[in-house]
This record gives sequence, C-alpha cells and structure tokens, in this order.
Amino acid sequence: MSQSYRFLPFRFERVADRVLLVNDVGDFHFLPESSFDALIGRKISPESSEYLDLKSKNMIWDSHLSNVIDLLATKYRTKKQFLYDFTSLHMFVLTRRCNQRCAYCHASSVCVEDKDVLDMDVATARKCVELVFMSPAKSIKIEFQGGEPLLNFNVLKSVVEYSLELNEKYKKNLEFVVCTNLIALDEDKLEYIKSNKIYISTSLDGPEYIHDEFRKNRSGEGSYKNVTANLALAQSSLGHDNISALMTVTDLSIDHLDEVIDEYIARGLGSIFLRMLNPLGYASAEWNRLGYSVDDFVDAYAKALDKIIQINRSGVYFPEMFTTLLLSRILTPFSTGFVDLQSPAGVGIGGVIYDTNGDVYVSDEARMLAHSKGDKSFCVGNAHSHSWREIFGSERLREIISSSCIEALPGCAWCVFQSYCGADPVRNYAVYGDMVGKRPENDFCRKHKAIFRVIFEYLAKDDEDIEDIFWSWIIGKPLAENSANATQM
Amino acid sequence: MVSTSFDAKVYSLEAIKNASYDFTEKATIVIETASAGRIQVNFNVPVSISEATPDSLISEFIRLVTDHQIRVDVGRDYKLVREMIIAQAFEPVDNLDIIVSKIQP
Repeated sequence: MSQSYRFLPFRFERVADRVLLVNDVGDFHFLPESSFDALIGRKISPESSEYLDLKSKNMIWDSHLSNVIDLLATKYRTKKQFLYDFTSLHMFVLTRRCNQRCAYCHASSVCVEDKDVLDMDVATARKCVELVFMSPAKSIKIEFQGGEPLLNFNVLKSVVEYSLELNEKYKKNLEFVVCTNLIALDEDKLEYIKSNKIYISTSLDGPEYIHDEFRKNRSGEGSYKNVTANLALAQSSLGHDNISALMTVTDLSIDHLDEVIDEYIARGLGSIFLRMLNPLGYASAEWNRLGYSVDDFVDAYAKALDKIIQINRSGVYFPEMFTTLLLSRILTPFSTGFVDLQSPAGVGIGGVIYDTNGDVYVSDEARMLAHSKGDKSFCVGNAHSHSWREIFGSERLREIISSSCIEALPGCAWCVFQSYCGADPVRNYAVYGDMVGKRPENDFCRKHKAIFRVIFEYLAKDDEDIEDIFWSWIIGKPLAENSANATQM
Repeated sequence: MVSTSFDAKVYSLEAIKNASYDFTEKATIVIETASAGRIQVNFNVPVSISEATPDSLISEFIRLVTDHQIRVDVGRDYKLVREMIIAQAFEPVDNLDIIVSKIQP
C-alpha cells in the first residue's frame, strides 16, 4: 500500500457502475468502482492518468500543501461570495390584491376590493426603500410582487423614483423587476416601465387549454388571451430580452411539457423556467387536484430537458433556467445568487421581502406562512419601527441563518451535491415544525438530488455538443455567437 | 423485527448512525451495544414497505454503512486540511508554509 498521497475534502455517491466525487469547492470527477476502491485503499499509482486527474481536480494532494490550501481557500471564498455581498434582492409586496384567482396561488392573494387594507402606502414604501439602501450590497435588485403589483402602480412609481433619488448618493448597481400577470398592463404603464428600464417577469403556464385551467380571472374566465396579447405588446415595446416567463407545472401540464415548450418558443420567449408546484398558499388546499409526486416531476423535467437540448442542438438558443443556475454552480467557480438554494440560506442575507404594512420577512415563504397560518416566526421587524441594524443584525436572523448551514445538517453533511445545494429553514419549519427538517423524507431534498443526478448523467457523457450548449446557457449567449467570438480570438 | 450486528472494531458508531439516518424512510431503527464488541441494529419495518425481504433490507443497510465508514475514514484524513482551507478562506494568514510544514503526505 502506497502512502504517497492524502485526501482532500470530498464527498461521493455511487451512480450506476461509477462513483461521482465532488469536493468542497464544486470540482467533480467520475471514477469506475474499481478505481474508487483503489483510491480509498491508497493504491492508485502516481504514474497513472487517474492519479493526475484526481490531483488536478483537488481530490488528493501529495506535495506543496500550502499552495493547495491557498488555491482551495480562494475557490471556497469565491463560492461563498454571496456572504460578502449581503442582501441584494429586495422584494416589495405592493398589494395583496390580485385580478386573478389562480388555483395554486402561493401568495394567497385576495380580490381587488379592500384597497386601503391590502395595499402598501407611499409612507411605508419610502421607509422600505430607506432600508434597502442601508444594505452594503453593491448591486441591488428591487422586485415588485403581489398580489398583482400593477394594481398599485402609483406606489410602484414612488418606489422607483425614491430609489433613483437615493441612488444618486449611494451609487449602487440598481435594477427593477416587476412580477406581473400582465393583465393590467396598458400603454401608460408600459411607457413608464420602458423609460425606467424595469424588467418584466411574467407567468405563462403553456397553451390556452393548460394556462386557462388554473389561471383564471376573478370572474372565472381564463386569462390566456389577455396575457398573450399584452405579452406581445410588451415584447414589441421593451424588446424580447427584457421579458421572461416562468411556468408552474400542474397535474394537467406535467405530461404535456413539450407543448408548453413549443408555446414559449412560438411566443418569442427566450427561455423557460420549469417550476414544481409548492404546497403553499391555495395550492396546499388544492393539492389533491393539482399536485403530483417528486418522481413524476423529475421524470417530466428530464423529458423536457431532453427536448430543450434537442431544440438547442438545432440552432435555437433556448435555455431552461433552473438547469442553467445549477450548471453555473457545477461548472464555474462563481457564487450564484439563488436565495432558495445556498448555504447558509439566503433568507434575509440574500433576499428579503417587505410586506404591505412594512413587516420584513426573510423570504416569500415566510410571509406566506404568516398570512396562511398567522405564524410570524420569520418576521424580523417592521420598516416603521425597526432600524436596519435591528432587523439585519438581530439574534433571530442569526439563529435562522445558522440553522441553514448544510455543511452541518444531517443528510446534507455527507451529500455528494452539498457544494451546489442549500436548505430552506422556513420550508422545513412549515413542514416539520423545526428549521432543520428531515432529509430522507423531504421533497425539497429529493427533488434537488434527482435533478442533480439528471444533470450529472449528461455531464458524464462527455458529449462536446451538450457541453457547448450548457456553456452557452451559463454565459447567456447562443452557440453561434460563442463560436464567432472564439474564431475572432 | 429484523436485526443485524457489526464489529465495533471495524465499523464506527458514527457510520452506523449516519446510515440509520439515511434509512429512516424504510425502517425505524434502534441501535444498541451487543455482547463482545458488537453493535446491534434492530429494524422495525412499516407494513406498507414490508415487501422487501429481510435479507435485501439488511444488504442495503450494510452497503450504506460501508460507504459511511469510508466517509468517516476519509474525513478523518482530511479533517485538519479542511479546517485550514476554510480558515484561510475567511481569515488568511501569511505563514501558512510554516503552519503546514508538519503535515506529511
């Protein structure tokens, strides 16, 4: 037995006849079972190519340990850059009113009356904006949510204008996004959105018969015709790159994602985000009608991803955005901001949500928990009565964050996908009554592990075309454009 | 009730506990010290998944324990280096060469 090498921190999982190894900074390597046995028994020959692969992928070391530690420390720090950035995503619930009554609404929105009770007022909005600019983050994204935020457009305007005024002093990289169903969009609002460079994120569940089944207006009619007409209007005014859509997979659409993808391409949408239904808000009560198993979702996701890859192979640039996010974590050394899936969780320190009355919640799910069950466990203050330091430096927020470090959570601590994943303490609390939760029976965990396995099956193929497609998604440019740039270099 | 036991000189309690955690969907597990340096694991399998034979259940559990034992052994080897990587990431020192000079491959 050779003692010429030592191990560096890595985790592993057996996948078919191979073993996947992933280290703390996200480098990965596949080994045949026999080679893995040799690795663990310290019998890999220093002259073999496998030895050099394992050394270059930072799974083992044999000399110059301080250089190895420095390299991995730099990579680790880069992966955890979001900790230095602090809270960059600030979501404003402008109103709890909505002109739709979607069967699966996570936000438990209510009808368009009761404006005084359910809308954010200007004074609250300004207090929240002041908190936003106390964040040390260099880049700030203000996202307008609801209900339907266009129903309280005057307050949206006041947030934009006060933010721009404060940013004269703070000089942040400031972005605005409005999450809207588009129904209340008109020429005046569109002009304001365009002149203030506000990005639109909307929802389109697929072709008319799928979209209209669950996304209805308050009188019970489907919203497809209205949404697609205003989508076309917005695209022609703002350009296709300034609007994206996501879809919620339901029991109706789960076997028809190919039609959903065709609809997105036909509507000129440049990407898709396949979102699993969460058992929150109205969806919780309607789960028997709308819900499905994690296994069913992952099967549908895998088939849809295969179709999307074929579309990209044919020369059409069309990424699936959740896959793109995970690929960025797997294939690049960089930190990616997705507050639902990072360690520690982004609750409060990556993103935060301001409710209509100025209550500050660590995530949208935390706000939903308060509205649906009256449980304000994850409300960390109020913009009117607490300072930035009292909210973001609170013991409660520290407690929430420290419970979401997956490096120390059972199940996560030894999971091969740990370097790319995260935990959601709010969801764990909602499901299990504590912030740690139970991984073996946790749908959140099972879904992400299954999706990671789908992605790693593609990566294991060593197919250059697929890798090129994946890289085009990561850098956000079509393959042809990448090739042209490569040729110019 | 199905049970198996492990040689405590070969398998650590940590590996058995971690495997038991991964197995919680399939069985309720009780771990106890058996005689002569052995650790006994008792499985209470819910009726709904009891179609798995006792042998296949135990085989699957032993494979899990074996992999967890590898994780424990490998983890023991890299523990110090891991702590140093994380320390160096967030509070770098200039004299790392000297600090690590006693760690040999």
